[in-house]
Amino acid sequence: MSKYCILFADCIPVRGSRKSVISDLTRSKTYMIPNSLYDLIIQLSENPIDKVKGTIPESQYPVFEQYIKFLEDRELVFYTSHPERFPALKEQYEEPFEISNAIVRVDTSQGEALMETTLEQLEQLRCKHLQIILEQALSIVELEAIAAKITDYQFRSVELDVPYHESFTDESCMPILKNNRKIQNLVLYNAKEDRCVTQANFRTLEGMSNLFYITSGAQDLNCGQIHRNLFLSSMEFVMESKLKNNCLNRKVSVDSQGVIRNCPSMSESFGNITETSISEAIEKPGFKKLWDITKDKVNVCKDCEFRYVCTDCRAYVEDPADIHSKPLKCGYDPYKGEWSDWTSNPLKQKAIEFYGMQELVQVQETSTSQ
Amino acid sequence: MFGEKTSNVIIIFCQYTSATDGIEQVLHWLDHLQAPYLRVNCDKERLSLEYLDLANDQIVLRHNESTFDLADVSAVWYWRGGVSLAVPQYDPSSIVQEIFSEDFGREAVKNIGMEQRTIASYVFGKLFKKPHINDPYRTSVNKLQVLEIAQEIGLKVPKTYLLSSSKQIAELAGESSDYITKAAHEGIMTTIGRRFYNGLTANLADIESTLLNEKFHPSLVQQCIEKQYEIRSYCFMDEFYSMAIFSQNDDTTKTDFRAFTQDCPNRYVPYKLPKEIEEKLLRLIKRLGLNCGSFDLIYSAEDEYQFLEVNPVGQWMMTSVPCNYYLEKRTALWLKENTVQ
Repeated sequence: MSKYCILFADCIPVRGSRKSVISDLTRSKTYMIPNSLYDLIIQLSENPIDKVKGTIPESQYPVFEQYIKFLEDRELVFYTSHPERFPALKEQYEEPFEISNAIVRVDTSQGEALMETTLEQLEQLRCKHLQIILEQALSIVELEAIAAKITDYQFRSVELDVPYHESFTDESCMPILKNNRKIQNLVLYNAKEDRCVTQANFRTLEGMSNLFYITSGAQDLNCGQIHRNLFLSSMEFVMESKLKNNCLNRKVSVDSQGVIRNCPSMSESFGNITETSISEAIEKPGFKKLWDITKDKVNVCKDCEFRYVCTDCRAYVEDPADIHSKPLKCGYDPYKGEWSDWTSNPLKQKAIEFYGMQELVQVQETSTSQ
Repeated sequence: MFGEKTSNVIIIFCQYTSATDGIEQVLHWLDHLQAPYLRVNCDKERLSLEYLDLANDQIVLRHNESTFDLADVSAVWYWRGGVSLAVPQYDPSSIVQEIFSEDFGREAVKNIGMEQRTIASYVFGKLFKKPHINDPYRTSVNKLQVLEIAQEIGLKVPKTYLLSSSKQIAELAGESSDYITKAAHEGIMTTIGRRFYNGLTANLADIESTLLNEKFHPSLVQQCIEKQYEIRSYCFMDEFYSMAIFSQNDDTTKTDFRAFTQDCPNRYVPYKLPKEIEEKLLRLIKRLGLNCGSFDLIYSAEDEYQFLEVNPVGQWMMTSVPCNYYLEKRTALWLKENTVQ
C-alpha cells in the first residue's frame, strides 16, 4: 500500500507571503521554513510520497531529501497508509468564562482596599491569568506579604511586577517565588540590567517560575506581551488566534484609580470599579468590540507566517484611523521576509531552526484526486 | 414541607480531584449554561433519605441543607467515590437499654446497616434509571472476561495466559514472540511512607528466571504486540473520541535522556477508528452494561487493531485536551440537554 508522509496534527503549518512556519504545539516550537517546503507539506498530505516525488525533477531530489530529513529529524511527520484516520485538530476555542486574563495596577500608598475589591471580582469571574503591577516602591517584607495575599486568590498564574530596589536580589526574591508557586513571573522593573533567573515549578504552565530584572519602566508593562511570549506555540494560543483577537479577547484592565478598560493602553473607559463592577463593565456596549478582530482580518498580518503565534495589539496601530491596520510595534515585513530591527523580534528566543535551506524550485502541481 | 427545594437538578457524585481531572471544567460549563447541579463530594458527604412513598412513587433525598424530589432529577453523573446513603452513627452502648445486652446493641447496629443497604440499593437503582453517565455499580470489569467477550465479538486480542509455574514460563519462552506480564485486576498503586508504588507492565524477558519459584500464584502473561502507535478511545454516548499516541522515536544519538523527554514529549493526535472497529467496541461496551468507557488499543506493526482493555469510568481529559475535543463542554451539555451536541 502506498505510504503518506504527513504532519502530526499538533504541528500547524502556516504560509506567509515569503516564508512559512510550522508551529509545534506540543513541544512549543516554531520552525521557520521556506514556502516551497510548505507547499510540499500540503502536497504530501494529499498524495502518497512516491507520487509527489515523481512530480519533482530529478535534479531537485537532494533538496527533496533534505526537506524530508528536516521533517523527520524533528519528529514533525510520520508515515501511514491511512491518512484518513488522522483528522486535523478541530478549530475550536471556548471557555465557560467571560474574562480569562487581567492587568491590574495598584498604588499601595492608597491602601489595598481597591486591589482587594478588584481581585475578589476577578476571582468571582474565574479569571485565570493575572498580571499585577505595583506602582510604589516597597520593602522585601512588604513584597512578601503582598505575594502571599495574591496567592490566596484562585488564579491559575500570576505575574507580579514591582519597582526594583537594591535590597531585591536573587537571594531575597527567589524564596518569594518558591513560597508562592502561583506566581509564575516576578518582574523587577527599573532595574539596572536585563536578566532572568528561573527555577523549576511544576505548578506553572511552563514548569518553571522566573525572576526577571528589566531596565524598562512601569509604562512599558502596559503591554502584557513583553514577557508573555510564553503561550506562543501552544494549542490555546494558536486556536484563540485563529478565532479571536489573541490579545484583547477576555481581557480586562483596572488601573490604580479603579478605571476599567479592555486594555490598559486604550483610552476608552467602561466605568470605575468603585461604582461599576467588572461584570457590569464588560457587558457595556463596545467593551468587546475588538474581540473578533483576528489576525486574518488585520492588514499585513494576514499575509504573515507568524500570524497565529504572535500577539496582536489594537491599542497602537500604524494607522489609528484604520482599526484593521498593522500593530505599530511590529518590525517584521512579511512581503520581504525581513525584520527591520532584529532586536525587536519577539520571536527571537522561540522561533528557532531557521534552516537556511535551499529552496525547492519548480514543485509542480500534483493532482489531489486519488 | 422539606425546606429549600431544588428542581430540575443534575446530581454529580465525585471525589476531591486534581485540576486535571476535568470535573472542575465540567462544573464551570454547567455554571455557564445555567444548569443547576448538586455536587456530592463522596469523600465526606452522603445523600440521605428523607421520605419515600411507594404508592405515589415519591422519594425525597437530602443533601446537606437542601432536599430534592427524585422526580426533579434530570440527569446523574457518577465520577468516582463510593455511593451510599448516610448511615447514622450509633454507638452500640447507646442502644443498650437496661433489658438489652451490649451484644444485642452490636447486632442492632449491624441490622441498621442492612436496612440502609436495602434502602440505598432501591434508591440508587431508581436514581441511575435517570439519564446518566457511568454507573457506580459497574466501575470495575473483569479483565479476563472482557478479553473473552472482545474475542467473541471479533476483536483481535493478544494471546493471553495465566501461568503458575516456571516450567510453563520456560515453555512459552521457547516461542518466538516476546511476552509481558501485568495485573489481572489492576496494578497496585499505593503510597507507603513517602514512596509511591505503581504496578506497571513488565517484559517477561526482564525477569530473572532464577528468581522465579517453581510454583507461583497464577500470573497474567500476554503476548507483547509490536506497535506502530497506541490508541486511547473514549466512548461517550455511542460517539468515539479517539487519540493516537506516538511514543518518542528511538534515537540513540540523544544521550541526555532527561533533555530528551522534556523536549520531545509523546505525540497525542486526534484519530478516527475504522467504523468496523467502533461498532465492535460499541457492542463490547453494551455487553458489559456500560454507557461510557475508555478503550486502550494498539495498532500493531502488522496493521492490526489489538484490543487491550476498557476502563469503565475512564479518564477522558487526557484525550480531550491534546485533541481539542472539548469533552468537558460536551459532558456538561449532555447533562443539561440529555442529547449529544
